[in-house]
Amino acid sequence: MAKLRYAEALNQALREEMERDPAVWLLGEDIGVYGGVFKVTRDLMETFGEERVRDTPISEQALTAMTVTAAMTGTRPVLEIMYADFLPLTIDALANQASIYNYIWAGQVELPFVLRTQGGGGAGAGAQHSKSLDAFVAHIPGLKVVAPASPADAKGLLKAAIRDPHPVIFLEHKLLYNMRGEVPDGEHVAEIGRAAILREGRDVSVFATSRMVHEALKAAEALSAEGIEAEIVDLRTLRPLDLSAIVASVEKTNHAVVVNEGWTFCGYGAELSATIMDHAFDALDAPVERVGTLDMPIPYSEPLEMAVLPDAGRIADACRRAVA
Amino acid sequence: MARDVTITGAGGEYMDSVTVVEWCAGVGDTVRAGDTIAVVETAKAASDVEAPCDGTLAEIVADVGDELEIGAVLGRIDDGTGDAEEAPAASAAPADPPPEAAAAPDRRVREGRVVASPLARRIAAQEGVDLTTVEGTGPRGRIKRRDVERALREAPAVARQAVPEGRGAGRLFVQTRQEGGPDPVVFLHGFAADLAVWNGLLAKLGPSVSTIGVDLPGHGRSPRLKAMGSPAALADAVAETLLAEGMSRCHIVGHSLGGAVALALADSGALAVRSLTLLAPAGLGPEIDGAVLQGLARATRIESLGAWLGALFATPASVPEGYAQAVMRRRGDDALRDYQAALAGELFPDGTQGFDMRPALERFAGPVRLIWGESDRILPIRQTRGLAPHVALHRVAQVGHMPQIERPDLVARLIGETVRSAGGPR
Repeated sequence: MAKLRYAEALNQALREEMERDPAVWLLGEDIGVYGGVFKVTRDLMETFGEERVRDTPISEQALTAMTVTAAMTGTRPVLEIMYADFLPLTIDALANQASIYNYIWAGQVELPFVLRTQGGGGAGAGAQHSKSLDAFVAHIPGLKVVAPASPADAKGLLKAAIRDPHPVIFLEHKLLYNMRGEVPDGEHVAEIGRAAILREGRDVSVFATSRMVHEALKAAEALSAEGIEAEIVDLRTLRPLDLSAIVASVEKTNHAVVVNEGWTFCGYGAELSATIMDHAFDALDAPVERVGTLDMPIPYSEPLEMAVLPDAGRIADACRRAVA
Repeated sequence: MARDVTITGAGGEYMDSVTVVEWCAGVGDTVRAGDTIAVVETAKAASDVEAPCDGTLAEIVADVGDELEIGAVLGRIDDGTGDAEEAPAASAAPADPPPEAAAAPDRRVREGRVVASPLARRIAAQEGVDLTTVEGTGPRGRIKRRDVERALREAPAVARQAVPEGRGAGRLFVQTRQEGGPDPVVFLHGFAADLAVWNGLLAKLGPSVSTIGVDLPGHGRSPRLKAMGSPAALADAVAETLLAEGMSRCHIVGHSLGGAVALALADSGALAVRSLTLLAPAGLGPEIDGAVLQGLARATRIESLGAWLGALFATPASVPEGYAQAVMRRRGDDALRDYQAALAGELFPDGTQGFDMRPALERFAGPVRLIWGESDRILPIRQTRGLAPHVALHRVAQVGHMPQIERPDLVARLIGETVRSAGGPR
């Protein structure tokens, strides 16, 4: 067990998987010589060479299509898309190729690739570099979508994603890269599709993803002082959902708050909310509360950006409304 | 000037509340005095509500589905004469709104759909709590779990309805009328009915008689108790409820299956039963029209229900107007229908009465009177042959299986005589 930053944990996962399996290779913009904008791929080119760590031109569309075909032809590419804001450029290859080939060719084709990207606001990166487009990719059947909230999960889930025979979209968060946490050494592979209860509570279940997990934990502290015990569930995997964990928690607390940093309208939280009502309606003692980014582009100005992004205060308010 | 449309004009029969079934006119429509503008329904029948004056329907106060007390305002008609009072009031005393304007929104809130969380609804259904009696403390008055749980703590016996399982898991629903006076008369309805079947009859009973209507298990608003496949089991559930109501002595009027339950209850000795008035009681012979019972229990549409209900009466003409409609509205619940169909299968296997109440009838020591329609197609009157000589029998010509509806005056009189013949309270 070592205390690593989130970015270091990802780097360790990539290094270990590349050592373990020569079919694993990396491609992306500035990931080689520069080591990645967020230094996730630091020093990997030095170790594994230019063949297995490829710096590419700026064309997410071409990169994703290349990744799909490379996966189809027997390698295990790990693609880095520098910002989640650029995911729309990858959608054709994901929605019309990666997600359907296994299906339309009746299982004869596997596509073992990982598309890593990072999203989220809070870094003063402006409207073009701060979005959370989780819903764009989670919408598509045939893709798995993973969003680790801790260094340990960053490593465990990335190793699991690389070993998965199907496309996995791996959503990192720019504000988490410097977060430190205990990370198991060596063979630490997490299970895709499992949520984790990070804090038990009896009054309200908060289902959160990525950085919002930490805001939810802060909210739980504040609520506890008021006598409201929130249960914080880190979904970890956005698709496939850990339905049984979600239902069990709602049946325990009878109140649900869903938190995702994306926009609420047609957002990932909307899907969660509907799923909870589909499967646990009779356990609900109040409507499901949604917390997300306000319905507008993300401002560059820091005070405005903070006002637009969801945070512990808004999560706590949603919990108070739920149990009112 | 706005004239109130109240429901005092909705027929002269006994009733304490009505449900709005239909509005025949919309707001803004021109109406003439005597036009039917709405249809309301009592437990027994539907009635037209006529416009009290010419004018324009100005406001609908009670929506379809609302339940209203007698005298409540259904809507308002503008008779076109202008408001003689409002204009001066506006200048002289602006702080005083007209009283009905202030009262109307409140009433709508109370009479509208119950707003409760899914969890609160589930617990209320399990525990048999009538949500219309629960005050909601959630946002905008929504009933939450805590409100149902408070209601359970504070009034565990009040207004219970549908408990799905377990003997003794919930008391039966009862309705007490004309409280006070001597020993009360308990009314037990027949299979697939509920206590509303007595409404017309109760109006004919004198004010000196205290009555208590009981919904049998899985009927009306009573819980669907398990293991109810015999009159004795049903009687135990009734006895438990009556004892819990603080009753130790009573008279019983039982109809059909309720008659068998009355006999079983008297025979059990759980309560002192002073007299029995039995309308075509079950359990005196093997035959019963099982097809009608299953048909009644399973009917989900007014057309099918109406066909089976017709078999209960001497002739189709004896079925009161709106009766099928009123019964259907009380039977809109799949779980209730399933329960009753299963109960019919247990009580009346293969269309046969699976129990014999004759020994209980012979052992009963108090006054006992049977009332039986000669045209009864469910339980044929020949089942009265060979009754013990202390049992009085009234054979009623041109009456089917529902004497309390077909001849309420007669049945009321005979109940009174039976009760009086048992002597004063002891």
